[in-house]
Amino acid sequence: MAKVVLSLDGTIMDQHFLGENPLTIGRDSGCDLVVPAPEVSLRQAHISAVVNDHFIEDLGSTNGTVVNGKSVNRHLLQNGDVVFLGPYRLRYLNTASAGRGLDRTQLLRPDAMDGMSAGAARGGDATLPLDMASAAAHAARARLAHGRIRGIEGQYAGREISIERVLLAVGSRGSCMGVINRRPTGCYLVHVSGKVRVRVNGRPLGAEPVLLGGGDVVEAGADKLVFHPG
Amino acid sequence: MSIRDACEMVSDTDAGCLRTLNEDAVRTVPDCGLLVVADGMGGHNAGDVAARIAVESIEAQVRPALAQWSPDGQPLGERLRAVLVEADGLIRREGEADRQRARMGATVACVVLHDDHAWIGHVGDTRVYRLRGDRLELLTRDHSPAQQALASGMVDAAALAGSHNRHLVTHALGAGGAEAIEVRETTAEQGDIFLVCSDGLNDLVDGIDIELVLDTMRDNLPLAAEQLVMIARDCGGHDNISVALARVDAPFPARRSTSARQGGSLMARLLHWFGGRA
Repeated sequence: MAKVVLSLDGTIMDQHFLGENPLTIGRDSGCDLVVPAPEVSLRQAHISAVVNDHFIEDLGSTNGTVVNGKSVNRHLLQNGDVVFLGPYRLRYLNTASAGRGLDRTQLLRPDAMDGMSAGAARGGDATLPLDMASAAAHAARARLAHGRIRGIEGQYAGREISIERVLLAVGSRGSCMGVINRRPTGCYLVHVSGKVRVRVNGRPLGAEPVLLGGGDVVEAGADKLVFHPG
Repeated sequence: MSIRDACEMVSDTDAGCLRTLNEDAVRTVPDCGLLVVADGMGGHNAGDVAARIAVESIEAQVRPALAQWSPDGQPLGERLRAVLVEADGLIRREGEADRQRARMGATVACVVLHDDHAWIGHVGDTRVYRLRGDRLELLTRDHSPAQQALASGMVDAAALAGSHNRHLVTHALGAGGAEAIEVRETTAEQGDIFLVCSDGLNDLVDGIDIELVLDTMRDNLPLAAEQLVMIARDCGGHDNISVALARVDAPFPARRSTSARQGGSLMARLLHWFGGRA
C-alpha cells in the first residue's frame, strides 16, 4: 500500500492513498490534492500507478516539478521521496518492498495489467540492453570489502588501482589467469585457468581461494602486483 | 561433431541466504544440447513441484523431438513451442487435481543447441543470455510489468532498479502462460557461452558483472557457475539462484546421412511419378 502525505512546516495537511486512478496535484480546487501555494500551477502534476509502482509526471507546470531537489518530467517514486511544492512537501510512502512476501516471484492477476498498453512486452528479435540489479542488491554491495593493487610488472605496472567492480582479473587467458574477488569477509584470490598456477607470495594456489592480506604479492602470468586492503 | 562432444555444460543452484527451500529446478542434458531452468511459485511448497514438473517434462519431450528431427520435418522452433505448451498443461492439471497446489506455476527458460543453432524458449522472467566475444547479450524479454514499463519508455533501466514490481511476472507455465510462450532461433558459434538463469541471479548481479564473470572465466565453466552464485549471495541472495551454462567448443552440424537424403529424394520422385499418373 502506498500513500502521499502533504505537509507544511512539519504539520500534516492532507494525505491520499494511491489506488488505480491517477491522482492530480495542483492549485485548482478540482485537483484530487489541492496545494494552495502561488508557486504551484493550477494543474501541476499527476501520480499514476503501474501495479505496485507509482510515477509522478509533470503536467507542463510553470515552475516544474521537483523531487528530492531535482527537477523531473517523469519519475518512478521511491519510498521516502519528497516532492517540493512551494513551501509544501509531499512525501511518498510505499512499504511494498519491505514486505517479505514481495521478494518472492509472484504471478500478477491478469486484470492487474489492464492499465498498460497491451503488447508492449512483445518485440522483435533485437538484443535487449543489459539491465541492473535491484536497489537492494546495490545497497548490499556496499558491504563488500575494498582492496587496492599496486602493479609491479605486466598490465598494471606502475599503476595503483582500487578494485571497483566485484572482481579484478589478473594474468591472461590461456597461460595463467586468476581473479581477486571482493567479498563481505575480504578480498580473495582464486586460480581461474592456465597450466601455470597463480602464486601468492611465491606459493602456487591450490583449488581453494586464498584470503589476501596487506602486502601480499600476487603473480599471474606476466602480471606481478601487491595487494592492499581498503 | 555430436553436441555432447562440441559443448561443455555445467549448472549450479542455491537456495540463497534467506530461504530454506529451493523452488528452482535446473537441468543440463549434454547429449540433447539442452539447458533448462524453472523458477516455481505457489503456496504450500507447490512452486517446487511446478518447477520440477517443468524441467522433467521438457527433458522428456525434447529427447524424442530431436531423435525424430529431420530437415524436412516440423521446424524445431514449433516443436519446442509444443513442448512448452505441453509442460504448461501438465502443471495446470496437476494443480487442479490438488487444492493445495492450486495456481502453482513456474517461469521457465530453455536452450536447445542443435545443428549449429540455439532454439530458445521462455515464459516469465527466467532468462537466457549469450556471451559472444566479450559481450553479453540478453536474448529473452521478461514477461513482467517492469519490462513493460521499460519497453513503453515509462522508466529507464537505472530507475528500474528501484521498482516495486521487480518480483512480479505476468505469465508462468501452469498459470495461463501458454499464450505468452516465446521461441526464437539464433546461431551458436564456436566460443559462445549460453547462460540460463533464474531471477535470483539477475536481480542481484548487474548485467555488466555477469558479463565480466563469464568473460574472465570462459575457460573454467564450473568456476564461472560457482562465482555467479557466490556473487549473488554476497549481494544479498534473497531469492533462489540457479544458473546453467553451455560453452560451444566446436561446430555441431546435424548429421544428414546420404542414404536418408537419397531415400527422401527417391520417395519424392516416386510420389511425383504417381502424382503425374493420377
